[in-house]
Amino acid sequence: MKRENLFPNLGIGLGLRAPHYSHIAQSHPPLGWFEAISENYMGLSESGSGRPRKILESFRKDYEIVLHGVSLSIGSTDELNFSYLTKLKELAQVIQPKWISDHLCWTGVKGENVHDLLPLPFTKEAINHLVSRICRVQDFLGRRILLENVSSYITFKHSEMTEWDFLSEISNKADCGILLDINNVYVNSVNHEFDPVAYLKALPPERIGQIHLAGHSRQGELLIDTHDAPVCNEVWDLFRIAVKLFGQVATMVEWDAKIPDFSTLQAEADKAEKIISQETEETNECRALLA
Amino acid sequence: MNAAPSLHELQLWLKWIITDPRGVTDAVTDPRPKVERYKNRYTEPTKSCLEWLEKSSLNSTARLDVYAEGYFSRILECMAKDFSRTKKIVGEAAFTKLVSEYLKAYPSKVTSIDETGSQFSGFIAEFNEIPLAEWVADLALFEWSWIEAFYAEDFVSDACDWRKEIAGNNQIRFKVHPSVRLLNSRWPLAKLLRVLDADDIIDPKDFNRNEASGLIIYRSANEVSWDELDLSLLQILQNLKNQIPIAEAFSKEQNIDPNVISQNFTSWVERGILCGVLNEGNGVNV
Repeated sequence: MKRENLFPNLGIGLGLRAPHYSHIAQSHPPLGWFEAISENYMGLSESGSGRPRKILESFRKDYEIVLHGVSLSIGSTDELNFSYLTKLKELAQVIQPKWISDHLCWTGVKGENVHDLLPLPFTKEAINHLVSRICRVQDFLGRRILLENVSSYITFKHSEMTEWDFLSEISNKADCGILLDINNVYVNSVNHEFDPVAYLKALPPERIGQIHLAGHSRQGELLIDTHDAPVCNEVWDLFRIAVKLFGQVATMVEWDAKIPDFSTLQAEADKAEKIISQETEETNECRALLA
Repeated sequence: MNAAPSLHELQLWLKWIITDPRGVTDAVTDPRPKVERYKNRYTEPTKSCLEWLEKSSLNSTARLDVYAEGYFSRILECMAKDFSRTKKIVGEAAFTKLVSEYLKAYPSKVTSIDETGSQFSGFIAEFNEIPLAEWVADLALFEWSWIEAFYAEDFVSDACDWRKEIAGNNQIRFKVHPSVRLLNSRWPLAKLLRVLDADDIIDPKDFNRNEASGLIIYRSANEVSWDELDLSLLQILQNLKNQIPIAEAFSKEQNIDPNVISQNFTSWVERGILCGVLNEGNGVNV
């Protein structure tokens, strides 16, 4: 039985991307919320946040916003970047997002930033390191954060558990949420040859605060998390299973490269909404029969 | 097999492999290159971790390549967007070479990828491995100033009409809008920009002459704009930006028609380039 979720269900949302600003401002599409990339609205190191922040503030008047970061580098062995966290906290105070998320990864070390979501070994050492840092970040921000599972192209021999056990243990120990990227689960299941359904079944349902859906591309034997294509059928199938397992969770479609017009994105969002509706109805019918 | 690497050792090694400018294969096989240039760039990892990558049908080098290619292409794409005019001038191949060399000298240490190019102009000015027109560094500086203007803080106008405070007060000091960037180039940069923005064909030689130009880049009505500015006017605006009192700021530039100064001053106020005045001592709004 699914325990009560720690995060409110915001319904279906989309990623807020610059090419769609005008369309959203003019036509006010009927969506509950948008996910904004935190760093796009935090400005430069020695400067303010200027125009981008103003745009986000204007959208905030009409929509719920969640902030999604790419540079927290929670898994790095560098010190936590409190200059970054201070800017993030200040942004959150202005925007009042429903929640703040980032990725379960590292993005650089020794002060350098690779600007990529790099994988971690699934070890107890990494868990201890991550849990301690997540707790410090949550204390600093004064709120529970969500962390997203990332796509990866390498794994490590010294990993001591599966990715899903790693993710579950960290979220339970650090008392944080999970931003479940179903495309990343699928990409990794192909790249590292595991059963994606086993992954979903092992996660703690009450900690799934948000779901990402996205497209990927193929490069030889590997699937690459490129966010430049429609959601594939396999990912939609996994999403159906996720809805059965986790119930109605805030869900959004990501599209970051070769960005199509807004109507294409809206169609993907509508498809997600239809699946949630179908699966929820089916679950309710089953419950009624059992009762 | 050696002992498993610590998380820190693994991260040092991976960062090294992914960002090594020679590519993954060379980085894996020859981790200690003898390079004189950018010695600091080649910080050595403590140990090789290649043996700790899971083997599969696709070899480890090919998998690491995904990250290495992603690292370079992501930054290249971002800088091509931020320095589109510079790229257009130097051409695709030279621009790619410039970014590659730039990353060796200045690996990104910022959290936003949009800020990676902050030192690109200075790097171009010193880079001599490919022949570039001397004004290319100034063009890159102009493009970076544009980004700074875009991200600069907004300024909320004073509630009172500060313009009334100006009359008869020759010690007054002004607030210049935070987005204002002033460029003094010894090349005809403004002419070059007009030609570039009109998409006309460019012969770099046409701009290789000492013909100084002043430019102002600023954000107004939420759009970033630029204008050419007479060098004396540029200096006056720079004086005002440095919070020099108005009488002194103007008296330093004797060779310009007072009517021209007056017209421009009015225009700066109207366009929000001058957006307030400072009180003596405490620097607050009047």
